[in-house]
Amino acid sequence: MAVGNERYYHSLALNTTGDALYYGAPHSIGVIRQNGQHEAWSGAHGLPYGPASVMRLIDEELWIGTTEGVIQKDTAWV
Amino acid sequence: MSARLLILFWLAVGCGCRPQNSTPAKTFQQKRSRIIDLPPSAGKAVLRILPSDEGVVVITRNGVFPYHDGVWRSDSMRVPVEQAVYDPSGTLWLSNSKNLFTTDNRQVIDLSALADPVTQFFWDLENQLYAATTDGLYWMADTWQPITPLKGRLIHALVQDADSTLWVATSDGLWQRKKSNGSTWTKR
Repeated sequence: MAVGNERYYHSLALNTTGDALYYGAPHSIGVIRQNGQHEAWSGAHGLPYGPASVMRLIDEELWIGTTEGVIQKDTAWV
Repeated sequence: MSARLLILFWLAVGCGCRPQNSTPAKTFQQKRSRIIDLPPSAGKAVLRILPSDEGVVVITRNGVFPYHDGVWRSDSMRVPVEQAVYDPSGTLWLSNSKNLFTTDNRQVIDLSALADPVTQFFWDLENQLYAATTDGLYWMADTWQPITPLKGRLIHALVQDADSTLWVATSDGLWQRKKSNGSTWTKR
C-alpha cells in the first residue's frame, strides 16, 4: 500500500493512458501505477493543503482543486 | 466547491497557463487565474465543467450554460440539476431528484428506487451505468441493483483504467473490480 494512504478517499483521476491512478486522501495525494509503483505526497513533500476534492491530469501535470484554492504539481508544488 | 474556484481551476487548465518549457528549473510564484462571473441566472453552485465541441459547458444547479470564446451563449438551458454526465456516445444527461434524463427528454431513467443522494453517475466502457450515492454504489439493470460490498459507504468518485478495472473512492477505502475477477470487489 502506498505511503500516505488513508481510509477516506475524496477524489480519483487517471492519466491519459489510463495506467496511473491518482487519489486524493485527507492528508495526502498518491498515485498507483500499473507497474506496481506507488508514490504519495503530503505536507512534508510540499503539498500546501488539502484535501483534493477534484483532480485532473493535463499533459501529465496534476491539477488539484481544493476548498482553499488550486494547486499544480509538476516538478515542484506551485 | 465554489463557482469561482471551479472557474479558476478551469481557466488555469484551459488557458494553457502551465509552463511551456518542458524542463522547468525554477518555480515561479504568480497568479494563474482570471475570474469569470457566471450569468445571473446560473446561480453560484457549479456542479460540473464539461468539455464541448465549441468550448465548455458549465452545469450549475440552475441549468446548463455553454461558454465559448469568452461569451456565455444564449442557448442555455434553465432546469433544476443535481448531477450531469456524458454517456459513452457523448450525449449529455442531467438528473434531478426523480430522474436521469437527456437534455431533449427523449430518454429518461427513473431514480425513485435510489433512496440516498447521488454523488456521481458513471458509464463504464461496456456501457453499464452506475450511480454512486452517499450510501453505496448501484448499477442499472432493469432496476437499480446495489453492489453489496460497497453498501453503506459514501462514494466520492468512480473511474475506469486502461485495463477496464473500476476504481471507487469511498469513505471506507479505495475499492477496485478487475475485469478478470468478474463481479468481485476488493479493497486496496
